[in-house]
Amino acid sequence: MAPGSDFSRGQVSELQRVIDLGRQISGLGFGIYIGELPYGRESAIARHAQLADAPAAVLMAVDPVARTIEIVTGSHAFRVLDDRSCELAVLAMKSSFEAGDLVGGVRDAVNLLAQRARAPHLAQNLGETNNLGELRG
Amino acid sequence: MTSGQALLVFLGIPAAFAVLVALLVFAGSWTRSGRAPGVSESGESGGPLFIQTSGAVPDPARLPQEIGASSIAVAGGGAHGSW
Repeated sequence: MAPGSDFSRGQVSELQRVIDLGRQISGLGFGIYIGELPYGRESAIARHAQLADAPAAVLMAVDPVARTIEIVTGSHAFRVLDDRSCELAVLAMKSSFEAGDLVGGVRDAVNLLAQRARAPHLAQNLGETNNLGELRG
Repeated sequence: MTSGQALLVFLGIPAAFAVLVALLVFAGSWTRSGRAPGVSESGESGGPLFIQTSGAVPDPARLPQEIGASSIAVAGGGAHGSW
């Protein structure tokens, strides 16, 4: 997709579906911004603050002209989604973007982050189960 | 060849060809007119795309200006990259 070009209704609905699914999986809100980021990360942080329930939300911001990617996690979202997971998502996006697949890259990154955010919940639940087992034992 | 047939051949066929070419040229723009604008909030075609989880609409009143200390306090972490 060429930088700055419009997105088809199908692409927008696909991204909407992906972030809704991401919320179901992880419990975090997701936002996608694809457009100009004149101040780089500062602009992405400002966009993130515009999201509803920003502390528990994750924003993926892409500037197709400057070819930059910014992921911003809220202060609560950061507890279940560390910077290393975000770096993995950035790598996933980069490889797709280099192949010219902007929507696919964002979609894969949302999926990855949602799965990574779910993992601590599972680990925590497993830990609680083990603790219960120890108490019973 | 009658004059009617000659008219059909020398005017009708070129006119039909011109219409066909015009249709092919404008078909692309007609298709694009059915596309969604980039940003649902602004409604401007060709603008940025900004969507979030359903049931929640980005609040423009919360920070239209770019840089602010309060927004940095909300952000917990993240990552950066370029390609």
